[in-house]
Amino acid sequence: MAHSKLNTNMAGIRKRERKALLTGLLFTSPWILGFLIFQAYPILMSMYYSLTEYNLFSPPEWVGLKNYAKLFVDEKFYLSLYNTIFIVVFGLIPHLIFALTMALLLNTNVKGQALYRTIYFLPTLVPAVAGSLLWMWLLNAQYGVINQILGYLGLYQPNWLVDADWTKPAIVLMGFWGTGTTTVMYLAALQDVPKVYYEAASIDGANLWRKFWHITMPAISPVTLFLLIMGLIDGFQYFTQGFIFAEASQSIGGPENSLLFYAIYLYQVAFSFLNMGHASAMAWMLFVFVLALTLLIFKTSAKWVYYGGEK
Amino acid sequence: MKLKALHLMLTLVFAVSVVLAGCSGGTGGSQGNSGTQTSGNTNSSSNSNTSTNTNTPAPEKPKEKVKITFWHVWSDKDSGPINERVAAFNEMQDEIIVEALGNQDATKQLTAISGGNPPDIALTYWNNIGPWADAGAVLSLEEFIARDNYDLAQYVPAALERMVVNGEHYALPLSMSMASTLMYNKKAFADAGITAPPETLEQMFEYAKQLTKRDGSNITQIGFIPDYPWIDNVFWPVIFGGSWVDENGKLTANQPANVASIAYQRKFYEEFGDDQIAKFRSGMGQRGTPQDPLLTGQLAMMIGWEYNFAEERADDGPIGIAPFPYPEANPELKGGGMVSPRAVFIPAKAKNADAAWEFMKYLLGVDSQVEFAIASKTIPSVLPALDDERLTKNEAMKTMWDFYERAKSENLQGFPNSTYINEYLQALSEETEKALKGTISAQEAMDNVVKKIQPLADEANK
Amino acid sequence: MQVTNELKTVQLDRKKRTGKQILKESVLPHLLLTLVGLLFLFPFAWLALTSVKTEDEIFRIPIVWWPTQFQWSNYSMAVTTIPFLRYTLNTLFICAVAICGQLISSPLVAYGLSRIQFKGRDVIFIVMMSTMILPYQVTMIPMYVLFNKLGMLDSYWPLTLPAFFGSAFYIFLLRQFFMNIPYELTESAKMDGASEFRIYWQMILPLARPAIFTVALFQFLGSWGDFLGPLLYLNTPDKWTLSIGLRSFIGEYDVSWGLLMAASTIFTLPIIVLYFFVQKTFIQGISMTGFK
Repeated sequence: MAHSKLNTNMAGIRKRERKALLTGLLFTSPWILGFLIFQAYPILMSMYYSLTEYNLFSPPEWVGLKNYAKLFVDEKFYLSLYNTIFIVVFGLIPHLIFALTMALLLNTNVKGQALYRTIYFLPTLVPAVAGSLLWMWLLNAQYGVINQILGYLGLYQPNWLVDADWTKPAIVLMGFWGTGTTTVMYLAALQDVPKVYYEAASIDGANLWRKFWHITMPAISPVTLFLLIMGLIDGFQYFTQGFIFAEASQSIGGPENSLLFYAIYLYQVAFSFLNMGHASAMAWMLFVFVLALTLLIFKTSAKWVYYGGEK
Repeated sequence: MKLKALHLMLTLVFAVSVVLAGCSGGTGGSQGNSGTQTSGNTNSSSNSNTSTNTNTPAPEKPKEKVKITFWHVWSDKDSGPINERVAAFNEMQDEIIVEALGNQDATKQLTAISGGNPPDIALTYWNNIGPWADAGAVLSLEEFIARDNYDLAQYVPAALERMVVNGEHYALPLSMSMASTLMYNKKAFADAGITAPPETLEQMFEYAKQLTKRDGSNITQIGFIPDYPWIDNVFWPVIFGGSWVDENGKLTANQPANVASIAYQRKFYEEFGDDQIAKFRSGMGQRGTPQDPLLTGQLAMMIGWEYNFAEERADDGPIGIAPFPYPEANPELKGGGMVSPRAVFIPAKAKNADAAWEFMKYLLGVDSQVEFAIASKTIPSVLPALDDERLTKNEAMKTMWDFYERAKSENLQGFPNSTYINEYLQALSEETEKALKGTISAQEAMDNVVKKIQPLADEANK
Repeated sequence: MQVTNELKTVQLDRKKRTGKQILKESVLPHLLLTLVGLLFLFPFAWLALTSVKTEDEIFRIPIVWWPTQFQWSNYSMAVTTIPFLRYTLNTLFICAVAICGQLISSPLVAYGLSRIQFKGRDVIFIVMMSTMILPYQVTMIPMYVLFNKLGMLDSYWPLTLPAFFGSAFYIFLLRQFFMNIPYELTESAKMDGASEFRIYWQMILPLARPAIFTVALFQFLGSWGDFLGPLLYLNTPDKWTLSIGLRSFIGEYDVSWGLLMAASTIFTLPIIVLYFFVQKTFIQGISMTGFK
């Protein structure tokens, strides 16, 4: 008796599972299709290229893992990795903190919100070319505005784009100007936090900080996870602005290669030295590294990310 | 509902754009190279060795026009002159229509050629020809040259040499950029009591000292900065008579002449102080604007290219020009300098190579060279054009006359072509930077370069 | 009932604020916002001011803050030097189509990855995330080959078609928002027999409005400012976009600064206007309580 009941239950479960599988696949089919059509081939090709010597025009020559081995003795591999990690560490966290702060301020019922929001978002709308050239001008050691202000405050005025010690901080500074998108996303997340929670907390006598730490942070943690992961993934591929700086100053890596970021070096190896095999190996090394990091963060996310939808 | 409103708005924008865009045929899924790909037409082109295209009369049926695509690197700002040439070519004959496309930088060209959609003819910078030809992206021109008895002796040797890879010509130099001039601020000279520009490098160093003014420990005017506006790792060794590789494929970047060229540059930094120069330099005006340091006198002398101060270097202008100094011990190096040509080439898998070659011959013909030089204020790479009266007796080109003359110098050189040219140049830049900063000696720097790059050279010569 | 009454009394009590509260809640935020706002606005103001300066004043030392002469012709020249209208329309077209494509596909996929429990869901998610990690420089050429084989070179297809299949970035973003919506809501609907799609269309999408608008906005920005895509895939100047047009002001040896800044200002203006109006929908974000 119990046996048949168990069977029907299990049959029911399997039926439901199958239905869920079908529905799930249906919903995700656009992406799966797109992946198969547009991404599978290029990704597989680049994996293949990493195992060959390929100059983009003659047929690739198989060399096995030689490209990967060469990476470990390439000093610019380490240098570019260092430069990139620097940018990620010193750029990402302050960026997130800053954007969150701004979003919190904007989330209050301050007058003129629309105006403020537009102002903060403005910089991200300026085309990369104009923005970078503009910043090169602002960071000019002698008459750039940044140093003028620093001088006025009696502080040290670095030779931003020339002194190898200050070129990366210059990039980080520029990065703050582009926090608009992050602020917007945090704002959207903050808007979604149920106001009841805050009101209930007020009744319980919670102060501002406790409200922030125990309500706001967990409530927006899904977005924080997103920003953290995307910041990591994008940060390690940092390219455009560094490239524009390089073109403008006629030197690919900047002063003492301090601006030789991983993706820029990769680009140089692929398109200037015509060594696509080596460049692809670099790409896949990065892939493994960042994927590991990403998975790690996802694993830990169970501890600090709260989804409102969780059962 | 707002979502619906957004959808509506987007659909409207979409619809309007489609209509407007469609009206002038801008959208669409048109395929790769537009155009009639009729096979085997152009050309029963002449056997004469003139570079102008001769129209051979059609045999029985009328020939169909061939459309060829020509990609160049210039943006709208600079593409006037080349567009004029294209238009002139299209007008003067009936068989080939050239469609020019600008903004096509190296990334795009490489991607398209590698990706199977090459243009028929393209223009790029000289340092790409080596690697690209070696990799198989470029069509060798030897067959065309032999077939048409094409005259290569008419070219400025240094310019043509940049187009040779493994003994074969893979491109032709459309025009030359040349650095072999010393430009100076006349007033600064007058104030310092200097009556004539320096002739030797040693003199230049002395003059630079005289032309440098200080206020306390800070520089207020500087005589010369050797790596302004950039570290030039080709120019300086050429001036000193150096070279980069010998006939056996051995790198010679660390030979005495090359090392001397870097040591000479370092002398300026030792004399005026690293920090002081860096500080002063960051305060110099922006190059190419009314606040350019050579114009304002902040900088007294600089390495001059033919496009610098085209107007201001007139006889009555504030900027003076002179041949760049030579080493005292080597007067035979007088007139030295580097050339940086633009190369026109035909991609290996181009669909209309023959027609492309016809167009190329036109571009390098004397008439086209002269017209292009007038419009773009660059230097022709073809010797007859350098003597052509349309340039040399043309008042409008007065400030170019000296450059035309100097372009004939036998001491003009360039950097040797190879598959590893970009790695070599990069290594030279990096090590030169260290040597200029004084972190290592010039000899050490160049030894480092050879150590880094010799393996690549050996690979390439196998 | 009682809870709401209590809440009401709490709110009433709070209407009377002390001076200290006013400082904390109004003045301080205002101050900080204004300060940061000025810092953010400054470079843009510089851009706009430079766009009307004469060549002489742009790089003058000491710096010229406010132009003594206004060269408005920078603007007229900027729009006449390049086919501005043509490029703008082209760019708008690409943006519109890409946004449509993205809004159709990305939320769908995100729903599947967040609100449906099925076998293999996590695998799909990880593979999807992984596709973002590989630098585009090494997949650029194979992708070009692919589009060449599909006969889509020199057209808008490569710039718009992929959007209809969703983009990992937006899917991830939307997934985060979707996962934040309480399951109780949808569970009851499911038990009433509603299909997944109905729940998606009628419940989830409306609730994630701010996120959807964010996606639309970002896709717009992405397409609007994309330079490499149009450069690689458009071989006819008629089809070019504004980002390529901007390059017209950058020469081999010199930059037409005034024109470039003017063009850049015009480039950003429509977005500013668009954003200013669209952002109200962000504000009216729905609070999660008390619906029904």
